[in-house]
Amino acid sequence: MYKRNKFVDFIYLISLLVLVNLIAYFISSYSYLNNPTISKNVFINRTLRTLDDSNYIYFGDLSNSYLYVEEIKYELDFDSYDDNYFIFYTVIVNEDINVNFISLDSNTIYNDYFNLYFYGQLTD
Amino acid sequence: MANSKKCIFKNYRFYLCLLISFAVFALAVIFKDSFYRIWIAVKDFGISIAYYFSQLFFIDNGLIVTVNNLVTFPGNTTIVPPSTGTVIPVNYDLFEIKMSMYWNSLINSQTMAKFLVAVINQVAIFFRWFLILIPGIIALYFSYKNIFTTNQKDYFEDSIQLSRWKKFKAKILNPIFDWVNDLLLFILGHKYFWIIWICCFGVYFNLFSIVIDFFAYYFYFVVSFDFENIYVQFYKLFLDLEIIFTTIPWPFWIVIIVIVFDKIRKNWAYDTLDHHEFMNRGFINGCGQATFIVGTPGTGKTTALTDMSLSQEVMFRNKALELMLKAESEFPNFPFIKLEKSLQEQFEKGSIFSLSSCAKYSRHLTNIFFELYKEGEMGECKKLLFDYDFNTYGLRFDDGSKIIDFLSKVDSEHSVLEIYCKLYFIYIFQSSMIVSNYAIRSDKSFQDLGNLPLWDYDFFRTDSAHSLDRENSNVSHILDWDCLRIGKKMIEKNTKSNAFEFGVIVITEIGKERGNQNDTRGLKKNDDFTNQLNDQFNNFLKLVRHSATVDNFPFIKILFDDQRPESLGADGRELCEKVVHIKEKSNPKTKLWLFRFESIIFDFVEGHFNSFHKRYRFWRSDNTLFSYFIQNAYSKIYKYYIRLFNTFCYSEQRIELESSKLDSKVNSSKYYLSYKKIYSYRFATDAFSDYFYKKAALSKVGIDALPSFRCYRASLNELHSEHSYLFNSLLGPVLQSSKPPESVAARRASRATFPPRNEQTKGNPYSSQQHGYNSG
Repeated sequence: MYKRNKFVDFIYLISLLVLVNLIAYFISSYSYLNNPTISKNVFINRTLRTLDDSNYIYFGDLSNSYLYVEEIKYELDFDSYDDNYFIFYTVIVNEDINVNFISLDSNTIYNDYFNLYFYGQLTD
Repeated sequence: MANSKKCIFKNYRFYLCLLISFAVFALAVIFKDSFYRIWIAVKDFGISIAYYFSQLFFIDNGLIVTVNNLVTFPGNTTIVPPSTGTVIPVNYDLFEIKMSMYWNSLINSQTMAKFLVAVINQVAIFFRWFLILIPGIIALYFSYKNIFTTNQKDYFEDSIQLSRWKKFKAKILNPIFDWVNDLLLFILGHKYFWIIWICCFGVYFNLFSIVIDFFAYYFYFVVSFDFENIYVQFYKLFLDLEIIFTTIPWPFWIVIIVIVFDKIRKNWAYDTLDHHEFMNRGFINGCGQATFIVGTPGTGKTTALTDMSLSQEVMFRNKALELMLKAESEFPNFPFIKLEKSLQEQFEKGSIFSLSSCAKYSRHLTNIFFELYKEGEMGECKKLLFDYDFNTYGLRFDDGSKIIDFLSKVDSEHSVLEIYCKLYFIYIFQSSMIVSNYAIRSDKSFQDLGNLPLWDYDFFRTDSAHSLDRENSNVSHILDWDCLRIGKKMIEKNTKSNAFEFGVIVITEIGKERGNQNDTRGLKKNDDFTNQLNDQFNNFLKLVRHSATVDNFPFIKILFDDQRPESLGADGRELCEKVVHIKEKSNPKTKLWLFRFESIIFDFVEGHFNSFHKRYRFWRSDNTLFSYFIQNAYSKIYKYYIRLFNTFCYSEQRIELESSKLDSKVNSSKYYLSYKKIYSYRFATDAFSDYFYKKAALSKVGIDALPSFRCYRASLNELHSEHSYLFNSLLGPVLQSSKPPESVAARRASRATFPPRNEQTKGNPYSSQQHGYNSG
């Protein structure tokens, strides 16, 4: 029958466990990006004011926000934060985003609030 | 046909399938967006086709291609379905950004913490289930213990619980399974039902839309080379597939993933076996016309010998087909199919049965042709050559080095007609190509639609039941050694002695038949009887390729095996180009992914089951519900495992390849033995067992009748009774002078506790001869 070495079996099982967990980890990490846990209403007045307590902001879901994207501007200053946090301030102004939504009538902005999603932990 | 239609209408399953069909149609209400989606896809396709042709013919009609637009469903104010917006970013820039975020967040304490929390939650859920199951496990444990408290002797009687279960199974479960099985068979037998259902779900799950959109983008892309919008297509693909991901429940996905993974890993393992087979064939080809395999018992030399013969047979048929196709390329307008049909008629009549009869047939045709040609009967000539227009297409071909004739009176052997007849005979003939001194089973599976039959050479994917069927099997021809003797023959007028022309000669234990110089000492060439010196066996081996060569390729292979190369005389041995030394055989290996994991599980289950089963068999002989379930569950696992093992495992033989002169450089190599190929009742490892069976049948007593030693030290009498050369020579003078004295130890032992052998086993045929002496 199929002969095996117990030590190799042990290494094999451990490797298998690690592999399965790694795959799960990779998938989970992506899903954490897609499932924001915290959302807040942010005041918009033609100029986006980021919350001081965020470490980064993601605008991937603007399509649901009835927002005339062209008018988003940003003022972010992360210099005061710890370097260990991720900073993606390049996210926010992206003219290509506008291309997809420019056809939306600006009248669709019926209030000045929209959801911003925060990924990761808010700083204290 | 009409009857079968009537029968369908009387079958209630038909109406059940109709009901299911209506239910499937009714699902359209839920998946109504899919119909809009397919309409958009068709529109995209139409516009893309128009765009394709307009670009192809440089028509600038201002057509705007819609395949790159995202779909807006009626009633939705958003472009993108809300649930997908966050999974895949809407454009490539966002995708880049998201990927950047993803990689940055990958090695991050928060992500890791989140993942750990998720893992702990899953473990907690598992333990919650475990806690629920604990009472059941405890009950199971006590019932398990309870099994061994009584000594049951109801031989194979069912317990009350098991009887009830069997009744329940027979009256309720089996009818349900049978009913479901019948329904499935009915559905499979009436394809219009399941095709309609598959089509419906294809529409509902946007599968048709995806295919149509793919072609829409394809026709747009090949004229525009718009790389920028490729991402949009992926995005649309994901949106289209979302419905299938969200509708089908996750357990179903697990089943699908397992099935797909299993399929992929098996294909991979089959590919590995194929690769090994081709490596083996390369090895066999490199060994020359005659090969001598040697190795100690247990290294698998006869197994390798058999394996090589099977591969060689396949290679011969392949080669014959290859050369036939080459001949067709030389004379592409000759109606070879008509020639084949004519040959088949001759096979059936029995007028063609060998290569020489093929030659006779083709030479006969050639002679008639040239006679008719001489007489100017061109019409008859054409008719003779199966309406081949030889005036237009010719009967000669210059291959650069020589002129190849289709018909030749002078050099008929090299004419394409004769070569093709012989090749077709080699390719098509139905019995085994192997001639051996032990039985070898080979496959005889081929497909024939009435044109050119194609042999199925797959050793690994065929179903065992199919390949073991007598109709699909060939067993090797019995080797008549007179066929291999061109000198004196054992039977003077042996009618079969000239029957062998081509094929694979396989001889196991050649040394015992032919012997070496020592074995043949005393024999003379001019002896009246046939012996190893005057039968000219070696000359036959030297010349046999002349009878088997067709189109300059020798269709002959000679394979021998024995324990030592020196067992065969030097002349015979040196006829073999190579001596294959099998050094060792590896443990079973496999390239089937996760088989080790399955093997670990199986060993765990097997160990526990065997322990349980032995104990159960010792205490009880009745059938309980518990043992019934355990045994049947284990049996299922065992059958699954052993099937995988035998299908995908193989052994590697470490081989040293040496020139037959036995003083040359040794090359190392490997030979692969696939279990599926070689252990599929190909040969019997105890090929000559019938002799020993008959020999043993002559005896009136068995092993139990052989006397046992009286104690752990043998007496002189006992040594003498061994009839050994050694002890006879040692004890001879002693025994002749006086009766051998019994040893002191033997006397002591005989006075000790052990009764004489005959008293001990009297009346008990099963009593063992083990007395515990080995401890000393």
